[in-house]
Order: sequence, then C-alpha cells, then structure tokens
Amino acid sequence: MIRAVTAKSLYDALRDRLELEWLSGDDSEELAIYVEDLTLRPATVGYLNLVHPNKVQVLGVEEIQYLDTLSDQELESDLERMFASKPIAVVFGDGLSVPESILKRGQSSPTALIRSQHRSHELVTFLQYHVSRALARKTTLHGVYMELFTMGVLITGGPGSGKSELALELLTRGHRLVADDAPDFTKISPELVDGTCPAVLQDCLEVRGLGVLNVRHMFGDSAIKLNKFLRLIIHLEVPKKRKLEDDQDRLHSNSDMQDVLDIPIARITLPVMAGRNLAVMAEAAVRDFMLKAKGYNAASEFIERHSRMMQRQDGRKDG
Amino acid sequence: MKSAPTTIINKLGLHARAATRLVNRATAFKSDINLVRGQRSVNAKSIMGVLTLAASMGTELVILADGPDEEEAVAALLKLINDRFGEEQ
Repeated sequence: MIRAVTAKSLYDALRDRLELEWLSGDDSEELAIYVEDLTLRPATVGYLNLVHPNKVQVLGVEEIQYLDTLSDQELESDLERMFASKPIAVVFGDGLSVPESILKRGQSSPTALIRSQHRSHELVTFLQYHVSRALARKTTLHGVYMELFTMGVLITGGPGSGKSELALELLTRGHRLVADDAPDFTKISPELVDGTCPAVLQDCLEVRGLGVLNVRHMFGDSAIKLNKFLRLIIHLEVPKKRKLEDDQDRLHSNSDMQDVLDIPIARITLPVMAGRNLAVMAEAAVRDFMLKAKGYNAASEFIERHSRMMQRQDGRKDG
Repeated sequence: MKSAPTTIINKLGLHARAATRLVNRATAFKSDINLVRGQRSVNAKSIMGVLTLAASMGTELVILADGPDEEEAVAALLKLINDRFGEEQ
C-alpha cells in the first residue's frame, strides 16, 4: 500500500472537525503528498509560501490582505507560481470569501480549494498533524499487545509458546488487551511508537482450544484499550536444552533492545518452563522495568551491597 | 559424600560474576552441592546463597557434594576456583 495523502482524504477525515467546505477541484488522486515529501522540507502544510511551496497552502486574513495589496499583474504572477507548484489543496481559514481570481484558477486546476470556518492557525496545526500521522511509518508485529500497569507491553514468542494463554491470564488479573496476533505500530514522533488494533481484529483473542474469544463481551469495556505507546517487549522462549551456559547471568534480567521502526525498545526474554507462572513473571518484569526507568536497579544495588560487605571484611582481616 | 577444601585465590574473590559462573557450573550436576565457610553452609546452586558467603581472596571454603556425580562435581568446581574463574588475577 502506498501511503499518500490526497485533498479528498484530508477533506473526508477533517470535514466535520474543521467545518470544511469543498469549493472546487476534482477528487482525482493525481496530486498527493507522499512519504518522501516529508523529508524534503520540514512542513508540508503551512501558510502561503511561494519560496518553499507547501503541499497544502493555508490562507488566513493576513495572506488575503497581502494579496489585496498587489497590482493585478503581481497577483497574476503570484497565483501562477502558487498553482504551478501543484499543491494538493489551498485552504482558506476564518470563513473568508475567496477572491474571484483564485476561484477562477482553482476551477481549471487539479488543486482543490477548501474553505473552513476555523481560524487559520488552527487549520495549520490540525492539517500538519493529520498529514504527518497519515504518512508516519507503520509496521505490524506478531504478538499480543497489552497494557500492563499503564504500560504498553508486546508479548512475543514462537508458535505454542503460550502468548494467548498468558494474555488470557493477564486479562483475568485486570490488565487490558490492545490487539491479538497482529498489532499495528506507528512511529508518531521521533521517540514514540503507538500501537493499535487492526479493525478486523478489534476485541478478539484467539486461544488454542477455545477458538476466538470476544474479550470486550467476556471481560467488559475496561478490558480493552484502543491504543498504547510501546514501552516493553516480553519475549517468551522455550529453552532448547536444560544446560546452563557458564556465563548466563542470574542477577540481571535477560534483557536487550529490539528496534521497532528504528526506535530501540527494551525486551525481556522469559524462559517458558513447566511450573512457572508466566503472568506473575510478566507482571514482575513490568514492575521491575518501571523501577529501572526511574533509575532504580535492584541487581546493581545488590551487587554494590555485596562488594561493600566483602571490602568491610577485608578491612577487618588486614587490621 | 565427597568433600574437598579449597581457597579462593583470585584477587576480586567470589564476586557477582564469579559466583554466577560457579552456580551455573554447579547446576549442571545432579548431585547436591554445598559450599561451607566456617559455620555457614550454602547451596552451591543458589546465587544469592553463594554471595552471602562474601568469600574474598584468601577465604577458605569446603566443597561438599553428594550424589551420583559427586566426584566430577567437586573436581569441576575445584578447577574453576583454581583457574581464578577464568580471570587474570
């Protein structure tokens, strides 16, 4: 799927919120904003700009006033430049009446003319947000995405590692489901990944032997969370052999980082073994992760305490 | 039951990483293995227990193993301690 924003998609998405009125322009998809456009310049939406032409040009009171001060010839040349850069839309704010000259050009151009009753700076804010959100990088990861203690946690693991069973147990313990099996992740800012549920999977959890369950109907509305920023990945691993490596660390959690859309996300690997209550371990992993995020590391403190004890004892021996 | 006295000879003593190595090595054996320092005896397969020994360089310990592979267990742990847990000093 090519991610692109067209005037029509903007209009459909924000018509009610911004009280948009479609003045002219065909709804062909000839003009669009693509992901690549985001890298060319910082903004694709902005106030009228002929030097770095925006893909969506917003005209408010000041811009219209400026155009009014121009001579006919200057106005023609400015409008020529404005439409030559092929913006997907020219948006008029403050419910302004659109100058005849612009209307005429708009009718013979694929660029859409849209008017809104809202203030132009509000339009810029909303349109910018919508465009960057619509074009943000997305990915789908395999796993169960949940909210544990207000934290977005993705549970991953091979087939049969017990992801869904763990999710079910966490739900009965009061945690919430975002999406089973194929959550969508979107990079909504340079440091944030937001996870949501694809519409078709909403509220559903598939558990082997039980089939598809509707979590909302079974556990209530509070068992569902619509979106959550991804903070932690808990990876379930069935150990291949019982033998422990010499250097396997017992004091620290088995954790590393996994890149999701180029953002490093902490990952804790939990070995799946008979007799271990994974829900309790997952909860403890999240609590410990929250402490670490605040700067407290139990293992480091313990090692520190231990080495102090050894030093004290050495001192006694020497003296 | 097999026992063997030993002395910690690496500079840093039985610190966290060395203790981890020792515990992981001990866990590989079926026998019950204990480390004894004076009055205190701890399970050699438990990291927290081993660390409470606070065995620094020069500390004398006794390795006690009881089980089908006690000979090998004691030999393996002695070797690890005498190899300074793979450390330089």
